[in-house]
Amino acid sequence: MFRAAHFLVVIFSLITALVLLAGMELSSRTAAIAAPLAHKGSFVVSGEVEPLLSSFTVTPALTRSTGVGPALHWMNPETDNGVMGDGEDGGQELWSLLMVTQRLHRWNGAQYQANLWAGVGAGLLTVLPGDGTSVGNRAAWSPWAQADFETRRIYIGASTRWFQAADSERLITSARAGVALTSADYNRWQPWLMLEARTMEGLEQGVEITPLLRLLHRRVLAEAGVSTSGAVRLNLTYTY
Amino acid sequence: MTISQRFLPLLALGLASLCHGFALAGSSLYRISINGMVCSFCAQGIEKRLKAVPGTESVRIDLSKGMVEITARPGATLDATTLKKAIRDAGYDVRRIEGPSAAGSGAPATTN
Repeated sequence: MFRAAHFLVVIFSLITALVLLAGMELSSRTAAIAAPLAHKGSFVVSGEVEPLLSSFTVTPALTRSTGVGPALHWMNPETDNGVMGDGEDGGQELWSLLMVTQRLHRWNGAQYQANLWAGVGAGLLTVLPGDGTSVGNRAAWSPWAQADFETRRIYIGASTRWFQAADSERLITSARAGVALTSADYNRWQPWLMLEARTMEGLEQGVEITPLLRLLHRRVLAEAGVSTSGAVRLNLTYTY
Repeated sequence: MTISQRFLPLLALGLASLCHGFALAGSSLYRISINGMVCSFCAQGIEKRLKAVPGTESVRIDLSKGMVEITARPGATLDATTLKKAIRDAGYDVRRIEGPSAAGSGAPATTN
């Protein structure tokens, strides 16, 4: 089941990439970014809320390409029959990690920017059973990788992230594409339409497709959308 | 309408232009073309780093052209190497630096 879902995500990414690369020739003048790291000395604070997976991260940039900061991921796994809040240990999970974020390479062009990112986190997984009593902590770690490409009008990106602790394993893989609805202007909000395909192995079955409206203005990146399964997603990122 | 009433707006306009010219006198302008600056999320980091460069008075971002204009404080000269470092620290690359030129005048000198 999971292999089939990953296959669909990969196919989606390839088709999206081909369509967008073709369109780029026409609209290369005019970017969306969900960069996990901003300029040297900055703090990127990011929160994401949705029924299965909510996150809160703070990433101070120690250098222009390296950040180290805390991350909290709250997970609410589905059971085989699609009921939330009943994971492998019969409860919700809180992954508390110290993350290292590394930009491996950035390609800066006159009309585009492309990035390769990787990171790893280490910390604790706390499983909360349905009755709210903690069953204790386990050592956990989480490697991830992301690739993205953007112009002033187009965004495409893919990422994969693995969460691992004793008796718990989650693999989240996603592909995203987006188109700006207006030209990029430093003094105005720029709306984007984004489309994400995502699999969350260990959290839910199948591929989740989510159209999102993204609003971008200087330090603020906000997103809201509803997935094909009816889940509401809200993301907010602010750079200090 | 008397003659003085007719000429009053013109006089005010002339004085305003003169004052603007005095304000710009002594300021120098730098234009920097930047690779990778494709969104306001990227550009705000560049703006912040450039504003921290000593001698910078103001920074203006033109996203559609991928260009930044920096006005130096009157009497100050900005070092191209320092400007390049500020932009690299923000995560971007300098394609070309033009300047310094007197603010409001023609094309500045070029440094690649």
